[in-house]
Amino acid sequence: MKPPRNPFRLRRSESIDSEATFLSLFEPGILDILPVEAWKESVQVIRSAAGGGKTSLMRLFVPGALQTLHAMHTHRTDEQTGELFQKLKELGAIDEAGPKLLGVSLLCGRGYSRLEDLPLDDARKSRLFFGLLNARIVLAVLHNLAAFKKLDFPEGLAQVQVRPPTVSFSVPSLSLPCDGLRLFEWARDLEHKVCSSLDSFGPLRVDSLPGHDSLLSLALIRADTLLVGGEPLADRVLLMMDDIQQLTSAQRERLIEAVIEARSPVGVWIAERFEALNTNDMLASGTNEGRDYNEPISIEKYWRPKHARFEKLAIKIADRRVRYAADAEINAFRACMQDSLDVPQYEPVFARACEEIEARIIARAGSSKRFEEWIAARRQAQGTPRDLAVGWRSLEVLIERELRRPQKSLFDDLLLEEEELEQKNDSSVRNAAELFLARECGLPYYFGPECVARLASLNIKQFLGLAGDIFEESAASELLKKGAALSPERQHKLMKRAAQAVWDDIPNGVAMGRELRNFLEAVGKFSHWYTYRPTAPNDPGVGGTALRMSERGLLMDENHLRARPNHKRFADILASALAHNLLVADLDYKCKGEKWMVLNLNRLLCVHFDLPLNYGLYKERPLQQLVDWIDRPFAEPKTEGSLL
Amino acid sequence: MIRNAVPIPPMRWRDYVLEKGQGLAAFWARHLDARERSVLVVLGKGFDPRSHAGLDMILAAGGGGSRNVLGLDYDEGEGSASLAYASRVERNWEHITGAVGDRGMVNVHRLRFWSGKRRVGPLNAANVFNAPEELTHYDDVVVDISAMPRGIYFPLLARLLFLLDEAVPGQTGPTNLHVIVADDPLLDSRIMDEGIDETAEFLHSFEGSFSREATGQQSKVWIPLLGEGRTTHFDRIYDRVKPDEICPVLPFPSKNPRRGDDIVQEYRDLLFDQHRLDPRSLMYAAEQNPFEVYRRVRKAVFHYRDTLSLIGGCKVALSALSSKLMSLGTLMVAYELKPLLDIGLAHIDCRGYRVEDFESTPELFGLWLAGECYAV
Repeated sequence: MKPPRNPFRLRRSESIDSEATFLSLFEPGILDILPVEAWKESVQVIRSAAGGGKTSLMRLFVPGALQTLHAMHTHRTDEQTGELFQKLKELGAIDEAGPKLLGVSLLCGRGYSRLEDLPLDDARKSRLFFGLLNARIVLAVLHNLAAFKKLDFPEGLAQVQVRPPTVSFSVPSLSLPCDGLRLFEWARDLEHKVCSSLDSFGPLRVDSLPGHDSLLSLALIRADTLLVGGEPLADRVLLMMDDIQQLTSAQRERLIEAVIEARSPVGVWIAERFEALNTNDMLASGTNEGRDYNEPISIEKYWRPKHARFEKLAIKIADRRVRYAADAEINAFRACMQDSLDVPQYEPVFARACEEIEARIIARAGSSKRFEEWIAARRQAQGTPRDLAVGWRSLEVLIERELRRPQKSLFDDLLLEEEELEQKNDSSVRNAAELFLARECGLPYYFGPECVARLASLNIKQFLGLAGDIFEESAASELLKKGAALSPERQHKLMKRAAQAVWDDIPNGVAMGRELRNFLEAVGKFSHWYTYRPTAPNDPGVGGTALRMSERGLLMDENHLRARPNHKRFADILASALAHNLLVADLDYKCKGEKWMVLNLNRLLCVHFDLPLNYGLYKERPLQQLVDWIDRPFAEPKTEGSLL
Repeated sequence: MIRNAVPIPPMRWRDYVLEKGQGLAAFWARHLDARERSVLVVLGKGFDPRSHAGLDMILAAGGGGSRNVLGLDYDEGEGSASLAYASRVERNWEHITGAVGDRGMVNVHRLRFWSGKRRVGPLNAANVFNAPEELTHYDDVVVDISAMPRGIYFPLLARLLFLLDEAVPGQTGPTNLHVIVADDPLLDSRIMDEGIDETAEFLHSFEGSFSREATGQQSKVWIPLLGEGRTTHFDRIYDRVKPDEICPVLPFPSKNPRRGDDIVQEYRDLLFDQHRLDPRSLMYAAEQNPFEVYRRVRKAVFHYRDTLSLIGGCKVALSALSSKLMSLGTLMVAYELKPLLDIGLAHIDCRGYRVEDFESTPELFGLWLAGECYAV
């Protein structure tokens, strides 16, 4: 198939037709989230918001992808996959002889939840669940085994020998040892019997449906129980179960418990969206887990402390997509955008800004001799028009801070020296000044590849959406011979438009979306008001709020929530915001002698409220105020400091 | 694959009865005038101003016999945005009970939408009726879907068709099944879904073999009927079906001749950029004739079946993101072909609705789906 016009629009791995294309577009750095040692032979939970990259990660390990990668490596057909091959080799998934593991991807969200609605007791429901799951695990393994060994499906399975893992092992209605075809028929018939009863037009008849007491399929699919030509089919089997969030919470717990209890040599991945977690788990952010199995991998959480690395990876992903595009002469994502305001077009704007700010400063502090040196220093400063404007604006902030200092010292009337100005004028103040300038002068602020990568909020799908918007216009511009690099203004407008679309979609696409958006709007407006105060506190600005860890404890306390329904509602809304990556939480953040749960707005929502994109700066609020924000919008206080 | 080898059967609804507007009122006047008839009208106890338009018309048509009403009372859960319109629901219901008066009994069936975090509305809708005997003492069962969500009327109608098909012939005269819908695209466009479910699902009794791992290697074809303001639905149903082929259906002929083009414009990014749709896969079906939709979609299903049988067959998922009137076409295809083919109805629900303006000038449509006219 012809490469697409805009490859960024292929946001799902399943939208990419061929394995070769998928491998070329896969950025190997993503594999860093896997623990080097324990990933193959243990139970590994992988979580993320939608679009975090779980499904792409799993696709990498299925036979088709590994075989294609091996062929590409052997024949050197694609230079871009060399690093990927090396990484997978280090992980033990492949070597020069070919794939070393049988990866099996199984979608687990399909139709299981309706088992919970049957008029049966819990034990029978559990038996039905395990029966159906066993059948599907076996079928998925046999499908992938046929692909791995290049056997016809299902006829070729007759060449597979299935032996019991132990002498005493038995399976209802199946005698072991048997061949793969017999195993296939057993599983197919079991699945058919359950599914056709559930899917009947008539009233349900469920009395005679078959079921199993445990996850016995894990014993049947071990690498040493499935033989081809008398040899184990691979070094190991990796079962990757996706979409677990679609199971009911009881089924999910049963499954995880059964997988752990099985202590099988088969590696099992359990991939789920955050939605799988209940409100308590969501607020706990997985901190109570990790004893019986590997620490869950939370993709966004993994990248949070390494966000700069994620952003570099994102740009590499974008470069791969750009190169894959049809009909475009662009060879790198950076070529799609200008990333500086130091161009003649903006010089008059900055010059005018300098004049206006200087006039404001003189009006505010010109009568005092204290700032004479500071003002003189700015008048004599050298640099680009942008540097000078930023210098003036940061001076205005610093003077404002001096003038508003609550406690006057004995030396408050002393002349402030230039040296002190340089000390105070750090990068945070300059960043705040840049933000203020952008807003006051109508200058673009959200532009450049690093900015777009930051706006992904650590989510690949979100990044592809934003980068796709940039590439779309860039490719069109290049086609019209206007040059591929979009101006900062255009980039800024595109990011604003994307932020607006996300904002508009919240009531539509999220449970309790309208209340959630009310809350986010209050957080955003509060952050905006706090950020743009004349003294630029918490420079360059805040992108969220925080509540005490002790108050977060209340939101997880059933008794408290029973007594305070509005807190229960808030806890659910907060959990929904976290599950959809609209808020990003940092737990146990130490500040002012206390521990805080920091709630950062999704970086794209920061664009909606004209906030800076740095992580970690916040202004805390009491729990009750956050709760009130759902129904009562944030209103700017009439006097400075009345809220603080 | 063996299922795919069956020859194309005759169309169940090749000849059909579809009336609208004054023609529909005249049809009911004639129908009820012929002899005394007991009629059951099943309708939604909803906020939609169209919810009683069908009942009003039937009551106005005259004739002898009882005119019973079963109102489905939706329990949408605490978080439903529709709760804001509770007073409208009550007003509509008062109108209904007042209009029926002593012509028959008015009953209410509470329909729970949620069991914990699970959506059970479709299952409960199917279970409103459980045996043919609940229907066969009526001459006519009329389902007015004007105030029913798709997730309710699809399983409900499928169960009714099934029970009437299962009814022992000869014991009683055939019970007729009619569907009424008050069509008003303008009002439909003003009813906005709030809190769309995270994941789409196949409707109760319409999952087909889509979840089956045993046939997991078969190609999947998805035929969505496209409508305005449903791109999120499209995206999430796509995620559930994960089709290999998409064959969207656009409304044409339509009152607004540009409507199909406008819809393509709205779905452009999804169809052509994300899923790389070949424009030749677009299909067209009449906006106001669900039987035409039925014919077109049915033909496409068999076309795909025959073409893809060379590579192991296919499964076909249908979805209605369109008007309720058009959506009935997909129901007819799925109901008729389910015993013969791997076919399913993929759907996504929401947690309530927000309406900007209730002003409505609906046009009533009536479909006669089963009974006397098909018994010849």
